[in-house]
Amino acid sequence: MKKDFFDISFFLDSSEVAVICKLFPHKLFDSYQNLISSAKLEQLSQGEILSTSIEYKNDAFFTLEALKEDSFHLKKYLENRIEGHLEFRKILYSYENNKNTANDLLGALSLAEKSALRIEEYMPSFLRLIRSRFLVKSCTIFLVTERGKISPWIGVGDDGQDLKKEKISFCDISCAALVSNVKKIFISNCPAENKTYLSCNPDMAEIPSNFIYIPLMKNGEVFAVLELKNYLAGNVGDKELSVIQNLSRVLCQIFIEHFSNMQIKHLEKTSTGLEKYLSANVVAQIKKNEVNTKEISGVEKEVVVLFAKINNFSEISKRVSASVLIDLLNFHYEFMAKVINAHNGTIDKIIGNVIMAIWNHPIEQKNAFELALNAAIEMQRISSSHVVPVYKERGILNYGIGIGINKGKAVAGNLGAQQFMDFTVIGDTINLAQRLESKAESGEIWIKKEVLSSERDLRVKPNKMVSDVKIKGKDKPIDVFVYTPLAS
Amino acid sequence: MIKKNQTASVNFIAKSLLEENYFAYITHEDRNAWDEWAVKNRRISLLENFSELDENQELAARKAKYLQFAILNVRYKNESLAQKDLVNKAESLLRKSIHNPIMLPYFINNFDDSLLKHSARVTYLTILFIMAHPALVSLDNTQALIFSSIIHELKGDPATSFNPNSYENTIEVLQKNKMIFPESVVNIIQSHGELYKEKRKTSSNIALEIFLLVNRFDHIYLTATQNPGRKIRLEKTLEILNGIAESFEGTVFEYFKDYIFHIDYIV
Repeated sequence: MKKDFFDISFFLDSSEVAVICKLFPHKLFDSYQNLISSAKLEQLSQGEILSTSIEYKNDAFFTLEALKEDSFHLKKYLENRIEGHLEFRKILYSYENNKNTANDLLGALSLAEKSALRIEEYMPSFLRLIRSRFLVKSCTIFLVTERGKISPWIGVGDDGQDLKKEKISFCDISCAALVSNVKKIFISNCPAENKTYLSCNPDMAEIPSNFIYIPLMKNGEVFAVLELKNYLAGNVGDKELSVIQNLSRVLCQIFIEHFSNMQIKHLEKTSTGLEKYLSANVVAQIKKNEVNTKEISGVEKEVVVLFAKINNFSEISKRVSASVLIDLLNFHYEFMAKVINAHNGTIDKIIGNVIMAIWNHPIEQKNAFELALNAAIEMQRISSSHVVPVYKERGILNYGIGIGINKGKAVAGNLGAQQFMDFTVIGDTINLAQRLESKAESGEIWIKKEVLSSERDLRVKPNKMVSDVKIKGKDKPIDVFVYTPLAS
Repeated sequence: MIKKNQTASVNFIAKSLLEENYFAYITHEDRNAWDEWAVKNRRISLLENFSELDENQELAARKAKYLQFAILNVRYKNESLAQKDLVNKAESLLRKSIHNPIMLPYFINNFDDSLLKHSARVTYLTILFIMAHPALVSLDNTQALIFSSIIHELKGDPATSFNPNSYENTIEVLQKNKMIFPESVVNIIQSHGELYKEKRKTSSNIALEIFLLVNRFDHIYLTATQNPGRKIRLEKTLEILNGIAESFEGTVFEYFKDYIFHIDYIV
């Protein structure tokens, strides 16, 4: 009886099958019931046919239809071939640096996107690919929702069919929950003797021969868990773990892509994309028509502008790969954006390692400067407490941000051509803020003396003053107040 | 019983560990001696297992405390042989549940003792009641319900804060503290809250009805009267429960009113 199948190309190439089998009348079917080899069909139709499974350790791979007298030898031969491949782990040759499977997955993703398939539609095929390449009997993804829940999402079961959610044991879900809480890989080659696993499985539900649970993470948070059970080619060792970790990274990439697409679609649906560059508060006011639309289309007004840059960026970018750099930058910007939004600022733009935010536009904010200053202080604190540790993990010890703030007149509005419209502010005020940011060392916030002096009710006082700072494009040097919130 | 700060022999601790009924603190000075003893006596596997789950003594202590809150505060008044067997099984089930790794986030977060006590009493009484009434509902497939009962209230003071929206507070804490539990466990908390709001007379999920009733009982018992006497407190609680009887499944409520008189309930 057919129990399980894998991709034939990993065990026998078609020419080999043809050479071996052409002498015998037969039909050989692959995992998807495709006829992959046949010979002497006329003889086959004349004799007594035996249909049999080609197995390895009680798991069927192919179905063979042959004359009764030939089937025993054919079956033995094919099984030996499979066993030989598995025992010598030749299958793993294709996993060198995981290029093949990773590329296959990414190629499949590209096709899926072109076909406008939803993630739910193409993910089962991905799991089948992982399952057949990695030689595990079942493969499941559990998703973590925002409300503290984890539940099975998509899986391929022992029989190669889509896994029905109700068939997934509470023990499996418990293991996935455990992994998502401790954020560690849970692996066992002998679950029957693993205390942690047995604690998850007090009813002793069906115990697999081995398993791997891998958390899929974004920005340090687990959003899904990949479960692989019953690896057929022996114990899960370092090599297998490395392969599967690479695969899980590809899966992460797919999910992250999916999440960002979802986010964009959501924004498009809800607010024609305004949230992409305005704080939620501002968007809400625009929606309520509390903002004069002329304000968005162009006006000269007083604004407060903040520039924050990651210092030593060129050195950092040399230390890590491009994809890691993007991850690290996104991680940094996620926190920065949260702080700016929380202080009702509007992110104007992000250019490489620099983020620019404005206050008092498009909505009037009486305490615009104080909001910007508090945001800057919070940005320094949060980068020290939340971002620095992550950069350190990657061996980057010199991460830090320098911030410049300025207040003054600027022209604000939509700037650009019909095809590319950018909501922004321009003017000397903006240029000076950027110059101050470029002077600020990690942990510092630079503000022009006159600007700070005009703000009388500020609760937080600067830590020092720097006199006669030469600013590019300015004839006279200026005096600057410096905040160092991490030092105080 | 050892008192706080009183020292105990290694043999005593070993016995306690074997019985899994107690917990002990090892001082830093004694850590090496303890490790030596643990290796010699092959207790190292237990420690390894603890470290695998990022466990520590504080966590183990919290679990032990939870167990104590349950078994010392919910007891049969006169334990017959059959009841003793039932109590042993209930204790074993509660112990397995709190040691299940999915409960890790609950015990890692240092929730207030009043919440721990409330959770322990409600969970243990729910288990005891279900075990004592096999005709009403089987304990099979109630594992998720037991986990839900343990984590059902994570915010506020159980004596004052219970309301139909309590479950939303719990979900909020799960989100805030990034605690992740199986969907079925979280859904029960939600269903429990919705059931309370709807005041339905019947539900197809009897185990959930029992949990709802026991939870309401505990909340009301905490504040039913200023009188410290347990008998008066119980009578007053039942009087209040009778007044809102339509909130509960009829048969479950009738059985419960008889059953609770056999229990010495301490808050």
